Amino acid sequence: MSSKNSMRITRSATKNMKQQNQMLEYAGIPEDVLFYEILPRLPIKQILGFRSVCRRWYALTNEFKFITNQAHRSIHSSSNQSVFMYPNHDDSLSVISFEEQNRYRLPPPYPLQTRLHSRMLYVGSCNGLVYGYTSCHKLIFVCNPIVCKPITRRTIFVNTFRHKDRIVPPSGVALAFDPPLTPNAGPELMKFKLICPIENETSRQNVFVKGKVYWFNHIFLVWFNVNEEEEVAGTIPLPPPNTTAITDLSLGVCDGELSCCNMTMDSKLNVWLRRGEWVRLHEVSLERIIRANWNVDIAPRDMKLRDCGTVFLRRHLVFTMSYDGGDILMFWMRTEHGRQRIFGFNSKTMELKELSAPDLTQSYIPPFPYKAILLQEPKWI
Amino acid sequence: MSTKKITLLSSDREQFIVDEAVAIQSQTIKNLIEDTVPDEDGIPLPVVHSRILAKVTEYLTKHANYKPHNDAAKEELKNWDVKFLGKLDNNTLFDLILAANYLDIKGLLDLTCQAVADLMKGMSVEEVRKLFNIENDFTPEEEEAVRKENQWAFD
Repeated sequence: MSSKNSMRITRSATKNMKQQNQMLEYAGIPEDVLFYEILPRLPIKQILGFRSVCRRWYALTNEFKFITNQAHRSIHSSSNQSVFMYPNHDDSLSVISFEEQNRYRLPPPYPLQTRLHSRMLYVGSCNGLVYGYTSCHKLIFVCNPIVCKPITRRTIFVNTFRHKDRIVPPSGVALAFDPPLTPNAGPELMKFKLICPIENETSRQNVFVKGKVYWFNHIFLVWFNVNEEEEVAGTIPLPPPNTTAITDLSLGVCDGELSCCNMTMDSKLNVWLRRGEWVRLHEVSLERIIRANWNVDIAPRDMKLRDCGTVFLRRHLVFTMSYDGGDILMFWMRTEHGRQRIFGFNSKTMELKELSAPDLTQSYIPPFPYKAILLQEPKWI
Repeated sequence: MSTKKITLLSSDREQFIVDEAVAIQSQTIKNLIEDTVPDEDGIPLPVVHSRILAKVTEYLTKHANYKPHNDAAKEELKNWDVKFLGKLDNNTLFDLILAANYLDIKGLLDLTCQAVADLMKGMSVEEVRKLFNIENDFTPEEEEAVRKENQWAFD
């Protein structure tokens, strides 16, 4: 990689070939390559910052083509680092990741004075949109916390969800949202749906893969097809071992396929990929993680190195969160004093790193995976 | 196995002789071979200077002869890519992007674009303007307004 000090670039000879338009290239890089291949790879915070580079950058980064391109890359890139989000007491959202060293905080998606003492209880996120329900009015809301501007904040509210003429508790709600895959598609091609999967079932996490939304329902996975021309819903079995031996399961997307992490009673963490059937990508024991990283202060001081995996599980609540395209297994844990922590375990180097999130302990739900996109939320029907 | 040779001609008329299997990783060259009667001297690539074409053929040769079958081989190829990038200065890197885009070599375009994105990561607006020779055409008021527009999101 070239040194950052040599920033002054003389324009290459090729510059002369495209003299008809000054802005067609930047130091030799064609404009469409810069805007559709390079900029979408940057963290969203930086993309927003670069809108003030010049007028042309401002205009181009606000174009639908750029925005869908960024969304596509953010959602479908398997090399992406995991980003997580969790709510704070004032309904703002904290965003954390290993990649961006600093956490950042997104303000509540709609102004305080209109909230009528109702809190926003977040449930989760799907492809860049965040959803949940309000504490008093039991309204379901959907918003993109990145793009809602302070004055024109757009948050979609839906009356309490009805299913077969019964009012369904909003906590069972899930959102399926899929922005268009091709940059030239219009906004009308976005697929989205609010679904109540299983009554009285709090859906901690749902994922959206290839037009279908998946939930974990203790004994199987439920899927729902947003594109209703085909089969509407169904179930698929959980990855092995059989369900009783599993303490926890979490869903994710890896290489564009449904992935699943589970943890067995003997403290083994498994990562599975759904390629027609379940294929195990990875297995690691919690015991090994702790032993290899005794210095990281993951275990209580009074815990012995012997049998630490199972003892650890008995004392702490642990669940896997995601498996980064590379080799990093993310997991969440709650210790005895209610403290919540997030760790990333590199399965190649055996190294364990903690994600710094001091205010996470106040959060009423565990962090959920988040993909930051610039798309406005679709118009609700 | 027969290895047909292809001659590529850079913008400064330097010849590069490579295996056909190496050359056709570039969609543009593949189309040129199929659709045109070759020049006596070789296939002319008027956009690519010999300095850059040498880099491109180095990349293509490595990737054509190296079909990774397992994780270790993939890892080695990845390491080779990192080394390949490490030797480039910004100017060459930018020219390589132009060449990879013109020659339609997806792997090389991906690799070089990621390198520029990594370079830009953490840069300030002013540094980016310098990097790409961009003139700030906002008035101070406008620039302030644009900055404010997004500032709220990250405190």
